[in-house]
Amino acid sequence: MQHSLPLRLEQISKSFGHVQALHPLSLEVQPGEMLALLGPSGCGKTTTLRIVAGFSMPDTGSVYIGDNDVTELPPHKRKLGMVFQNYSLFPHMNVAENIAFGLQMRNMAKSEIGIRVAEMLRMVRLEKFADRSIHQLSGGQQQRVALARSLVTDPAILLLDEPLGALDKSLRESMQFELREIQKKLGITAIIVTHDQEEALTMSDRIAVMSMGRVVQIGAPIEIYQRPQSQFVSEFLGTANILPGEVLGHPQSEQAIVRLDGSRAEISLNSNEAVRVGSRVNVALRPERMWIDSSGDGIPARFRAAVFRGSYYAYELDVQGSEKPVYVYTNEPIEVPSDGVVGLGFNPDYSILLMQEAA
Amino acid sequence: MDASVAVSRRRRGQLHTGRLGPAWALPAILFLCGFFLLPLAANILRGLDGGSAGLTLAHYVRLITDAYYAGVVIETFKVAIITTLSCLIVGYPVAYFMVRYAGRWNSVMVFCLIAPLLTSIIMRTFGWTVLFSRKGLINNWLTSIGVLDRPLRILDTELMVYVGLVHVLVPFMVLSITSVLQGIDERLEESAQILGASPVRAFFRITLPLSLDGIATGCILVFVLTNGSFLTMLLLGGGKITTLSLLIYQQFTLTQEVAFAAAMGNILLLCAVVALAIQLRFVRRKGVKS
Repeated sequence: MQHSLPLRLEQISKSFGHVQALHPLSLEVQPGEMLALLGPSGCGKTTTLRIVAGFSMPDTGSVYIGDNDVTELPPHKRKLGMVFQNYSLFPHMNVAENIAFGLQMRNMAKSEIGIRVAEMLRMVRLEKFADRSIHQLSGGQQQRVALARSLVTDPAILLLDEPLGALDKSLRESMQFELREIQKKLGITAIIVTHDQEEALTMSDRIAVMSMGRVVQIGAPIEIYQRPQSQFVSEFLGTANILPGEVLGHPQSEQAIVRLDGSRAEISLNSNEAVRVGSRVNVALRPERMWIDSSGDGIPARFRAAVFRGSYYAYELDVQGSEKPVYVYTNEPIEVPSDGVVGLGFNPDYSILLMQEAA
Repeated sequence: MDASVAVSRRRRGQLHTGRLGPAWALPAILFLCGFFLLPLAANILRGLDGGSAGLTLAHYVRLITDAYYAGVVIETFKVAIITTLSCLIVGYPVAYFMVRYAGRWNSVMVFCLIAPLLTSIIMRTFGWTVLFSRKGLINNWLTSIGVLDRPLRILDTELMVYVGLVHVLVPFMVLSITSVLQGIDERLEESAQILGASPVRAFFRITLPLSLDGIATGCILVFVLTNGSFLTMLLLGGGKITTLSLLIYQQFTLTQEVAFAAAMGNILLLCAVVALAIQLRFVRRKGVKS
């Protein structure tokens, strides 16, 4: 096992034709850390990964693995491991041959290859499948072969390109834990590209949220989730209700009094940046941190629909001032009054004040 | 009452068409029997026709034992094999380029490949004559700029026959290979590269083995078509290359030894059948595997 190395991107940028896919971007991944690049399609996360892999040349900037500048190095000399979105296993080779491929490319002795392959098969619990053809494996098994193949060469950095995208939900959850466990055990530096916020939250040490070719926020999962710095981040990380309002005052530096549009109630919120009195703001409220009061206390709202989602009930409501419907998740069903008018309550500790982006 | 009768009648009618189902193929089957199977059988018999001596294998014995004819059989295969390999060497890079790099120009290239097939093979072959004859374009040009003292003899050589054959047949190779290459995920090569394979090594270990199916189809197609063509040899070879097909043509038009020609035709047919059987088996084995 080689020592884990840090990965550093310095001011890399890339454009395709007139489209700026990546604005100058710098990132550092600590040794043994798993960093998630999270964002919608076209945000530049895959471009970033392909630059790290060497499939794509950045227009500006450099890529460092450890202290080595690898910007000019072709992919086969970078000593990376990579799991592709559709695993991209070699269909004309069986499981063991797929895993052995990377070692053969390094001209390792046959006997040693056999030992390493067996070791890897044991790690991903596929000992009995060595001679199987790729087509005879389930999605989860193929995923594990892809992981074994990428790790057998002791790569300095592991790149995961939407590694669980092709699996069904329950399998995806168990694979998230398994993948994370293996990564931690090996202590390998890793980057995972995903558009699934849940995957990013469960699997990574840090998340870099990307949008339109830029990193808009980077931090620990809990920090990103609880303290999003923009409406984009808060909306992308789980459905957040966004209600517009106006700042009435801020008695303390970390506090603001806000009146939501269409409501007379004044609420006190934590604010992590200084807000001016009279400025327009958005308040992000998580559906699972809100409740419905059938007696009408709180923000006035009109009931629209209710859905049973298995582990919780989802309610859709109209709130004055908000164009989009507001969602509230509750564990117990609510009795809705006949006129449908209810009140919405929320815990200010879990609500986030966002500056309204200048339109 | 009326309605129910109508319904039952319609149902019965449907049953009738259903029962007639296979019979709809009858015209086609009759056509195939009359114009394909019967002539084929007749040709096989004709190849055994010994005239007054009744049925005989003499024609086949002569084909194999007579030094001249045996030479022609061997030359036929030699020409077919060289043409097939040349088409493969010329065609694979073209196919690879079309699939991996041509992008939106791909359809233009397909058109350029297919367009010549729409003109007669005689036209295409004469095109070479216009270019390369003693007073053709190339010779005139080379002598006028002083590269040559006097015109080169390019036509009527073995090389010219191969050039003509490859020109006519390479589209079949390219199209067979592109159809398979298109189904090979580009990311497989990227995976191989990440695992330490240089682009060249990745190609030979991953893409080439996965495209064997297309190579096999293209090779067999070109091989069989070369065996059957005689116009190129006739027009560009100037008698330098004699193959079975050319010989059959000559037997029919000059010596009119029909039975002997039929025997040669049957040998060619046998080759084609064997080639197709090999290809079918190859494809089927792959089919079970995947």
